[in-house]
Parts: sequence; C-alpha cells; structure tokens
Amino acid sequence: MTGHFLERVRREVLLLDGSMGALLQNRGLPAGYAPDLWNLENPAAIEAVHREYVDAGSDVILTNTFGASRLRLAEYGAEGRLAEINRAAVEIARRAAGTRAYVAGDIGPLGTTLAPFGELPFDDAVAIFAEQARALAQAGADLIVIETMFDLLELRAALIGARDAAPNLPLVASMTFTTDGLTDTGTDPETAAAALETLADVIAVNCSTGPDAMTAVVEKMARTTRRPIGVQPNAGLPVQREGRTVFPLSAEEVAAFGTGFVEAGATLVGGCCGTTPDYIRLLRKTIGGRPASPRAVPGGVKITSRMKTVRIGPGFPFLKIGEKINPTGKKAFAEAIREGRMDMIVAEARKQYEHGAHALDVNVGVPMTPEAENMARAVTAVQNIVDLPLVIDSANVDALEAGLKVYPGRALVNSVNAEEEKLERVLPLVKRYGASVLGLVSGDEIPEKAADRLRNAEKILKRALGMGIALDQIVFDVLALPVSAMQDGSRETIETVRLVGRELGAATSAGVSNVSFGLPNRPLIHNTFLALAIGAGLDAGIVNPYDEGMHRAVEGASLFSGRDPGCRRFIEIHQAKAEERKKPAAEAGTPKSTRDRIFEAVVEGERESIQALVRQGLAEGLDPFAVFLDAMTPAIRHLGELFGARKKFIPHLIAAAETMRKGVEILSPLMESAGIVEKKGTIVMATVKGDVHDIGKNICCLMLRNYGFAVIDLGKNVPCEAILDAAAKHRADLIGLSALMTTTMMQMKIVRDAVKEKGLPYKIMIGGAVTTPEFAREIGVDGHGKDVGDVTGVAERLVEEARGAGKR
Amino acid sequence: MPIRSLAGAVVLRNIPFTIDEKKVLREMRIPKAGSLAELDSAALSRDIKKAIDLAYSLIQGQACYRTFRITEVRPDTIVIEGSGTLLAGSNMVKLLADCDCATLMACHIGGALPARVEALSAENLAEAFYLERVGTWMADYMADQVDRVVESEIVKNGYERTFRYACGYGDWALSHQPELLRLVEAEKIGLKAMPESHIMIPRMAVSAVIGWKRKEAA
Repeated sequence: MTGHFLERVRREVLLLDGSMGALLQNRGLPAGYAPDLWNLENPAAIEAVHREYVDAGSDVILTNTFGASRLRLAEYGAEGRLAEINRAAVEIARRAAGTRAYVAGDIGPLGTTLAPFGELPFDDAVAIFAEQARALAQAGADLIVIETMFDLLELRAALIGARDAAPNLPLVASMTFTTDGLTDTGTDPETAAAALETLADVIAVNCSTGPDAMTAVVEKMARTTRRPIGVQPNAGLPVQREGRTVFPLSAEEVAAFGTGFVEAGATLVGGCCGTTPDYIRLLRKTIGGRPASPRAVPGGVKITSRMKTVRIGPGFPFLKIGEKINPTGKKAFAEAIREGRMDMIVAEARKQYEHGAHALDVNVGVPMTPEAENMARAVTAVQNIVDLPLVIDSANVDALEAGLKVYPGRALVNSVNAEEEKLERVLPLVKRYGASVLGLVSGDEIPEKAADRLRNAEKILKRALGMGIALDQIVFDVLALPVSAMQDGSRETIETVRLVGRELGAATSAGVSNVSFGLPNRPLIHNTFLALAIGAGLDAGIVNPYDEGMHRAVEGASLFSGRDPGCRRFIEIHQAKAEERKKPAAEAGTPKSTRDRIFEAVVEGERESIQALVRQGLAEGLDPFAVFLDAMTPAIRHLGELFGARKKFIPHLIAAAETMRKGVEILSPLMESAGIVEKKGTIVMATVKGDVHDIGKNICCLMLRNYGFAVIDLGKNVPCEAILDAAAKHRADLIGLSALMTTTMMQMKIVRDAVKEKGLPYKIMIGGAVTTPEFAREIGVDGHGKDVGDVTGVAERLVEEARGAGKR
Repeated sequence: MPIRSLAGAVVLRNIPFTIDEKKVLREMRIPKAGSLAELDSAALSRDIKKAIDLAYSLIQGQACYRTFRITEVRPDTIVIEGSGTLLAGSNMVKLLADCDCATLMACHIGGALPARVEALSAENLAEAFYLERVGTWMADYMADQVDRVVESEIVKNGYERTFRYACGYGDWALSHQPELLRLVEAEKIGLKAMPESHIMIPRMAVSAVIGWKRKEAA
C-alpha cells in the first residue's frame, strides 16, 4: 500500500472490509467456536476471506483477532497462545493484502466492565490491551483498530495500552451507539469524539445499528473533532429467522448511504455485522477514493464527563467551575475525608450542580490521609451523581493519576506550572490520559508583571507541544492575587488575560476567590474582578456557584465579551425571573392567634416550629389540654378529612403526625401531672415473624398515639407467642399486625388462629403492602387498614366494638 | 455481536443515577405535582428535598445479570441451561415460550440507605418515611438501568425483549429467590435472601427475568 495511512485518510476516502464471522461460518466455522483459533487451525479460510475483501476494493483489512485478548482467549483455554494467534493473524492478512491494502490489527472489548463501574482494575485492562497490541505490532500491523466499544473508560484503557505497546502506529477508536444515538453507557457522539481525540488518530462508529442511524453520529463527531472519522454499519438491525441471526439490508441499501457518510465527514468507510465483499464492492464504486469533505470544527479547549462536553474559549459561554469540593479551611469537610466519608463531597457536588456550575473542581488534599485513594473514591462518587465534567485538583501527582484512572471522560488536570519538576511530572500524565490541563503562569515564584507571566505560559506551552499536547488541551490560569496585598499584581492579572489571549491564542481561567483575602464584602470583590476579567477575555473561573451575584456578574459581563450572541441567554434568564416576581405574595391578613398557628403548624407539618409555638401558647396562658384537644387534635382530624377528599396525601399525614408528636412531647408531662390522661384503648402492634419491614407499622403507631390510643409497639420479626404475651400483659383491646411480603403474611393467620383457639378477647386488624380486605376476610381477622390514613378509623371502630361487646 | 452475559455474570457497580422529584412524588402517592416546587406545603417540599439530598450520599447502585439459553418449554416450567426449576408458573411459560434466552438480574441500592431509614425510624418517622420512599423508587430505578443495558444486548442480537418479570409477582413464588440469586452470582454484589421469608438483604433490591423473544414470533 502506498502512502502513510494517516495522511491518506485525512484527505481521501479509504474503504475498510466487512464482517468476518459470517463468512467463516460459511466456510465451516462451528457456531460458538472462537474464530480467533482459526488463525492457527484454518489459516487458508481466513486468508480467503481477506482476499475476497481486498479484491472487492478494501484499502484496509482487519485481522481476525477481535477476541484475541488474554481475557477472551481464556474462555477457550487459549490465553497461552495469544502471541502466536495474533502473529499468525497479521501474517495471514499480510499475505492477502500484499501491497494492495493496509493491515489493521483488530482489538475488541474484553467482555467485562472496568472498575469502578465493574470489576476489572484499569491498570489490568491497560496491560491486557497492551499485550495484544504488542503482539499485533510486532507481527507488522500497519495500524491498530479498537472497535465495538460501548464504554468510554474501557476504550480509553485500550488506547493507552495500545499506545504503550505500539507508540508509532496509528490508532483507530471505534464506539458502538444504539438507535437513540448514545452508547450503552450514555455517551453521546460529541462527547466520545471530544474524549477520544487526544488519544486516538481516527474516531469511528461501528456495529449495533444500521447505516441510517449512523449518519447523524458521523455528523456530530465530525463537527466536534478535526480527527478523521470512520463508520462501519451493520447491514441493518438483526432479526431472527429460522433460528439464525439475519441482517436485513442488501448491499445496495447499505451502499446508498455511502455518499451521505462522506458528506457528513467520514473518510474511513466499511461494514460490520452482516456485510460481505459485495457491500464493500458497491461502496467502492460509490465513494472509493473521493476527497474528504470540508469540515467546520469550532475551537476551544474541550473537557468532558462520560455524558457531557463543555468548551472553554472565546465565543463560548464563560465556564463556571465549582470550587466547593475542597477541604481547605473547612474543618468538617476535612474530617469527613479523614474518616473516608464521601457524603459531604457528594452533597457539595449536587448542590453546586443545582446552583448552575458547569464543571466541578475536586480537591481532597488533607494532610496525613491517603490522597490518591481518596481522589479515586471522590471522583467515582461525584460522577455517580452528576454528569458534569471534572477538574482533578491536586499537588500530588499520584492523586492526579488515581483520579484519571477512574474517570471515563476528558478531565481538566489542575495543575502544572513552569517549574521544571512540575513540567516533568504532570505533563506526561496529561499526555498519557489524554486530559486537558490548567497551566498556572507561575514558576519558582509568582511574577508580578504580566509579561513575566506570559513567559511562563510560553514555557509551559512549548514543553507541552513538544510532548504532543495541543494548544487546545491547555487553559492558562492567570493567577488571581489578593488585591488587599498585591494591588499592582492584581491589575497585572487582568493584563495577563489580554496578553495570553492575544499572544498565544490560548484559553484562560482564574481562581476567583483568591482576589478578596483580607477584605470585607468578599463577594463584591469577586464579582467586580470577574466582570473586569471577563471583559478582558477570561474564559473560565473557579468560582462559588452559591453566590447569586456571581451568576449575575457573569451574565452581564458576557454581554460585552462576545459570549452571549443577541443577548439571548441574558433575556431568557431575566424574563423567567420577571415572571417569578409577578407571582402574588402570600396574603398578609390579620394576625393569627397562637392556637391557630399551632393548628396550622400541625396541618402543614411544620416540625421545626411546633415546639416553640406550644411553649409560646403555654406562656400566654393556654391550658395544655386545650392545646392538645382544641388545636392539635382538630388539626389532625381536619387533615384526615382533607386526606379523605384527596386534597392531602400520605406524606402530609406523616409530616403532621410527626409534628404533633413533637408538640405532645412538651404537653405530656404537664397533662400527666395535671391528672389522669384517659386513653381511647390499648393496641399491641407488631410486624410479624420473618418480616423486617416495619416503617409502615411504625407510622401507624405514631398516628394511633396522636389519636389518643395507648400503643405497645413490639417491633419487627415478632413471633406469635410474644404478641399474645404482650396483649395479655397490657390488657389490649386490639392487636395490629403488619407484613410486607407474601412469604410472611401467613403469619397473620397463625396469630388469628391462636387467638381464636385460646378464646382470647382481642380484636385483630392487619395491614401492609401485600394485604387486602379479601385476605383479611379469608383469614378471619376483624379489620384491614389499607394505609396509614385508614388505620385510625379502623382502630376506633374495632376498639369501640371490643369495648361495646364487654370483652374486657 | 457476542452475548457477553452468556459467558458469565456481568457485575455493575457504582451505577450513575439521578433522583427524579416527580418519580419520588409518585412513589409517595402524591398525584399531579411534577416537582417539589409545585407542592402546596413548603415544609413538606423542604423535607422531601432533604431526603433526596441525603439519598444522594447514601445510594450505591450495584447489579449483576446473566443470560441463559432456554433449552425446553414445559407446560409449567421454562428450562434454562442453569436450572430446570427456577422459571416456574403459567405466567412464566406464557412470557418466555417464544424466547431463545432469558436474562436473570438482581440489583440493589446498597445497605447505607436502608440502615439510615432504620436509624431515623427511632428519631423522626417522617424523615424515615421520605427516605424510605426515595430508596424504594431508586431500587426500581436501578433495575431500569440494568434493564436498558440488557435490552441493548437483546436488540443487538436480533431479538425483542419481554417485559421485566420480578420474582414474587404473579405465580412466580418468592421461594425461587435463593436460586435466582445463586445463578446471577449475587454474592458478588453482597446481595442475599433471608431464610424462610426470602426477603433480599440489603432491602430495596429487585430480582427479575427478561426474555429474548424471537422477532419473527413477536
């Protein structure tokens, strides 16, 4: 084959081959047998298939090694023959290709999921992929194709492993998307392209769907990256016919999409499952050798999560990076990290997300703690609950790397500066993991003058470019200095924004909270600085997303800095706010009495205020019985009526019940000291033997107590004997039983039968998710409560019946 | 496309999630309101938000699933390569009669949320209840996430999926739970069934089967 593969695929359309498995099955490969083993056992069949594709016009043929990794070969006990199998595959392909086609070493997924989402550690995956890539490269493959990947993290591990093993070979990274345009793990085509462009030479889509769904994927990828784009559709979505998997689209139907693929930006086109040399022959006729279509790709530095991409640079929205996941100066936060707890990190992540952060900085640096381990856990925990891109922030290189290993997207590494040691340690990480990086424009010391900061930026950039890290992977941190201590230096910070933008054409960022140390009214200082810096061209900031003023400053400054074309975003935000302001305020009305406020607090479930209100009422001279009987009890009954009318619902009842309980805590000692508190009746409540679900029963107990019953709660998993003993001991009127499972509900019958057999006087009511009135009738109990809103009425009726019948 | 779950159980940990306010409100049987902001009670809205925020720090979604070839359809049982007794009942036969494979799955949201519900029950039942409802919805959510992955594998191989049929529903008795968990290697995600009651521990877990239905039969 003449010419370097990468040079050619950048300028003209090259044809890949089609499927291998089906053609081998036609040549006698048994269903379920590993095709990779045929490289050794039936090389002639493999070579014949390759020849068919080369004759049909394939410019690139893939070796028969899709499953020839150690992990996949182990399924057939052939892992010890890995080198032999991969070498044979390349040799066979080379014999068929001659000088007419490139030989691509083919690598497929490992058939397992990588940690932290699965079990296989990232480093193990890298080593497994490297082992196969090394075998393919040593055997003379011209390039490596890693294909049919649905997990970004696994593909990143494969690319890192392949790059380790074959540093000079072009790498093609191909993901598989479902018909909804996402991978199985939720990655969209733009994010796949942005996350992979720093690791792969060609980015592609293959398998899973037919050609129709793939055109849009190609378009989106081609609009995101300048890398060449590849596409290999199946011959349609498969169907089962007479026990065989059939791909329904003909060669003509698939080839009809060829021109569309090329116009969308693809230059490497072939087929996947169900396609044959006929398909390639027709594609060759349609698009073979065509020049690459022109593509418009916006600039800016990209960072991504697994599911989302953001850009940093002129013309893009100012990027707000949340600063709150950082233990500096936060005792409780640092303590949580010291204890290995991620709850505060998760809470801050969610809160910043809800307050409009576009990306999150993650810093877990606490002295005397395992920072690398904590970073991996924090990055995992945060990406479980928000889809924002992350900025992995540490002075510890091991912690940076630990974070990068569990992060499927393209992170922003925070940070490198112009110090030799930093450059030597951080930039190789950025290169290896395909990240973007924040470059602090400091060196051994922080320069005051913008010109000196620019020199540091130039040094970082030069070193990065020399390592193959591109300008669009670097954001320069212009060093926001405390204006209280360094007023001249702070002015120079703004000048640095202008200078770095103008001289290097690079994106800039700043840690905004630094500017205000030592001064009052810090938010005003942050936001003034932000407005000035955005005006000078600042593209991103590490900011406090909880400060509404910050959002307003960014919105306003964006109008004057080319970041909000047509002022559309500003108008949208402020129109929505104006609508909000138009809503009528709550009625002022006449002042309410404390009794009324207690009534309302119970109805509204105001747990926080009820005890203060009760105390206030008592201080005003209200009688404790009056508070209980004339304010709280009517409130809970009123709520019951609203519940009956479907105006309030179970959560309202529970909130009110808990509120009343808190109020009664204050009243009880006073009522008891004033005289006997008459109870409506005595109820023994239990979740039956074998069942561990008891929250529903607990809530029923609370409701019943609020209604004036004496309730003896026996808890969960309670045997029949214990229930009967308690009922006898407390002279119960009623036994309430709860069960949530079909396997435990029959315990209710056991209790009922024991009561009947022994001629005991207790009424029995049952409840729980699996119980029904029919079941209650069937087992012969006296009542069924369908939910917590029902239980008080059923109890009142049954106790009345029990007492009316003179059973006590 | 190789069926990766035929070779052995696939284990998923740290399943990413979001908690949808609307779904939580439905789980609490509050109709109509699409978000907490639409609730008529500020206190209730605040309390449910607090439960959702707490749930974010407690949930750790984990799952495992495994696919088995169906080898025989009997009048009352579907026989798979791993078991001749698990997939029993007339509903099951109706569900899987036209299928070539069945994927068994189990998932849970971790033990931290149920433990917090337990602890809160002693202090504040309202908070315990809200958190319990969030957890219950999220167990279903995790099942939906696994469902999506399994469905994708089914479609890629030329089949259609059946609906997800959970153990303990219809005539598929809960007594099959231990065998189901054994077949999907649920011990890898720390999930087990209690003796006698067969309740899954940690609570807030789902176990189910999904069939691979031949398209021509569908």
